[in-house]
Amino acid sequence: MKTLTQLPDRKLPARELPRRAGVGFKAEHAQDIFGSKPAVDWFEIHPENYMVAGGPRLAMLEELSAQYPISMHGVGLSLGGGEPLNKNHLADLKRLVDRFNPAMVSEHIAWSAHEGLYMADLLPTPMTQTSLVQLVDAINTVQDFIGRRILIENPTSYVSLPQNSIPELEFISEAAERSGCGLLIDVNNVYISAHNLGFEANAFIDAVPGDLVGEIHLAGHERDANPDDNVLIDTHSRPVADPVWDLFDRLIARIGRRPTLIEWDNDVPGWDVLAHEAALADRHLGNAVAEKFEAAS
Amino acid sequence: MTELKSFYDGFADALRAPEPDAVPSSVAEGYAHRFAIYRNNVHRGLYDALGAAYPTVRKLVGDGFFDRLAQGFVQSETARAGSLALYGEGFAAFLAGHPIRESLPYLADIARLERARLEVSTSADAKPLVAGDLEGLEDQLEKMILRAHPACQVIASDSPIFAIWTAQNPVEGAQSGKTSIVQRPETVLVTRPYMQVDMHLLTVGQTVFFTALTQDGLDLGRACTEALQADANFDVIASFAEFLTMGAFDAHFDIPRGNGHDDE
Repeated sequence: MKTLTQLPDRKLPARELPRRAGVGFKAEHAQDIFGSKPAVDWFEIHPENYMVAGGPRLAMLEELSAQYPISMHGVGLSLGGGEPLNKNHLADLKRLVDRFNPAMVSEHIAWSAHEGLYMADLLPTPMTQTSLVQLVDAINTVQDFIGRRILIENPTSYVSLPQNSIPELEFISEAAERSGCGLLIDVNNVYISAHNLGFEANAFIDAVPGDLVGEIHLAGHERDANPDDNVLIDTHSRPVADPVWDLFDRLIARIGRRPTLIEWDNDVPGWDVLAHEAALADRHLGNAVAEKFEAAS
Repeated sequence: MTELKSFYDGFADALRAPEPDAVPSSVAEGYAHRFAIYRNNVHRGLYDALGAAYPTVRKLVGDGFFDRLAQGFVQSETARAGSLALYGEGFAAFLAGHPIRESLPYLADIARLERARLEVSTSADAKPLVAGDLEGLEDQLEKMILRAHPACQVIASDSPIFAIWTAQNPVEGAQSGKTSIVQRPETVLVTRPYMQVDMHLLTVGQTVFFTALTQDGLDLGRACTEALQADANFDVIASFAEFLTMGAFDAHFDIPRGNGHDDE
């Protein structure tokens, strides 16, 4: 699987994420990763976990970023919260971006802060003309402040908000067009939201504007225990489900390869399981190229 | 704009409401259990952050009871914007005021120790004072004013917190610590001269010595005198060497009057 493209020189972090599989970095895998230098092409981290003054956590990130390209995927900026962004959080993010020079910076279309309170979850942003303007303002603020283009990720939805007046794909694409940011398409989120809200996942995937997509996420989900409601939950606690792989294939067959992350944040398994998922994603990415080639010849 | 504002207000209020079935008006009727997914994520996130910061407290009370403690605690401490990395600062004080103190009187002090470990682990990096830094200064040691290393804290307790913590966190490969825990006061020095957090049990003399130096600002000579007054068995030379090995002092020190101060 490792012969699809030449591996980048790991001594110098790449300016861009390779269009191959990466893995969400977990401290419990540090020994496996630093000890055996696995053939995974890049890692993603949550900058919030490194917003500390010093110590072993930052030292670990120093070591990781010296050996692999890294992507900083934020969960705490609250871009979709309709209120000014927290200045301290932005400053903390900029410090990390300046120090580690990640190949990519991304955030969610969601909110977690409200009037000084922080609720550690990705809460749903209403999709209206007004909230779109607010979101674009927030993205511009971040991009201006850290001096880089970012990617924004499509949300996982459990409820359809009665306020919504713009379809999700239109909302996120328009936010990207207006702010100049790119899109991070989480295929698992598309699958879950389509299931929970009752839209067509294939139609969504087919309409994603490929030129805006800078990264793809894949993760596992679970069915809620509630027997009366067939709802899927974005748990990041299992292998990627087959229908999510199918949507992924469908997306990359049309738009081509992208840096693709395997996310696993709960019930984290041993490193070998994650390495296997990453190898699987690389195989799918390789097949997408092969199919394109066959179709062209 | 006002409609959006009331959406965010209502959603946030319902997330924080003590009633477990609170639902904001923006969520359609019959979807209470879906709103509960968000509520559960928010609470679970805080409980897990607290559990990660206080793993020994969690072991001592068990996962189920820890969640019940966390449930009460999250009402009293809201999270800092954007990150849970240092969540739980007030947990020891919360435990000290909780009925659990009747059955586990040492629990709050174990929490203080774990908080110190977290803060020491994440505080700014700095060079510790090492024996080599003192070469050629032997005749001025008495006048030396030392500061605590920034990644260093002292936790004193009426309970044997070092023994309890160690029993709950046995070192891999070491002989299993089946020694009984003696009920006595213990003072622990938590250090991180480089990347490893270490803990050291201090004697009475060592505690007085270190406090006199780093909190009262006394010079080495006077700190020794105080320590010897408090503890006739205090071994000055061995203890000073031990503190240096622990990385308890900052590399910057002063020698007032005479030769000025070290400007490293």
